[in-house]
Amino acid sequence: MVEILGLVAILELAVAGLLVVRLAMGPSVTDRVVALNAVSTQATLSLLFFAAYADRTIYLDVALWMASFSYLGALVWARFLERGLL
Amino acid sequence: MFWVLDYLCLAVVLTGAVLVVRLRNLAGAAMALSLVGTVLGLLFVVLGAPDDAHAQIVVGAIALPTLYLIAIGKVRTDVEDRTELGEPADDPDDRP
Repeated sequence: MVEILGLVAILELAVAGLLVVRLAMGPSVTDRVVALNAVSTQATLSLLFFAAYADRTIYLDVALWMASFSYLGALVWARFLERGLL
Repeated sequence: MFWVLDYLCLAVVLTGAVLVVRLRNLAGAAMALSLVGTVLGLLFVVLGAPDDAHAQIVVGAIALPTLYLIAIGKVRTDVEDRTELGEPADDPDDRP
């Protein structure tokens, strides 16, 4: 049962690897912003499942920081896109 | 099963680092830098250092790409011809 949690963590990171392809060849800037935000979400989920797999509650703290700061990062990217600086 | 996640993180970090160097679009390169910071934070956690992962996520994934973004924006306001920056000329689809 615990092995499934580790497997899900690996698969989430594999999905992030697929999103890297979109970030590499995305034709517009907005494609890349969305791909980056999705990669952050996938990394957070992978971290959560890894915390359950490794049975360490201190790792959940890092996942909380990653989720909240990826939100702030997306906000910064959106602000710069809005001002037309990119 | 630890080592699969380990090497997968390393593969994504290496791909992102190659993208930072190879991408011609400067905003895309800054986003690839943010990707490297995020997945490197995940790698720190997998290797068992959550306190380093805190600093890596805050600085490497958010603050450093934002600094590059501000610098790129400030440079671009002073350059009339965008092809002087070494980027290919814009196609209209690239504008938000």
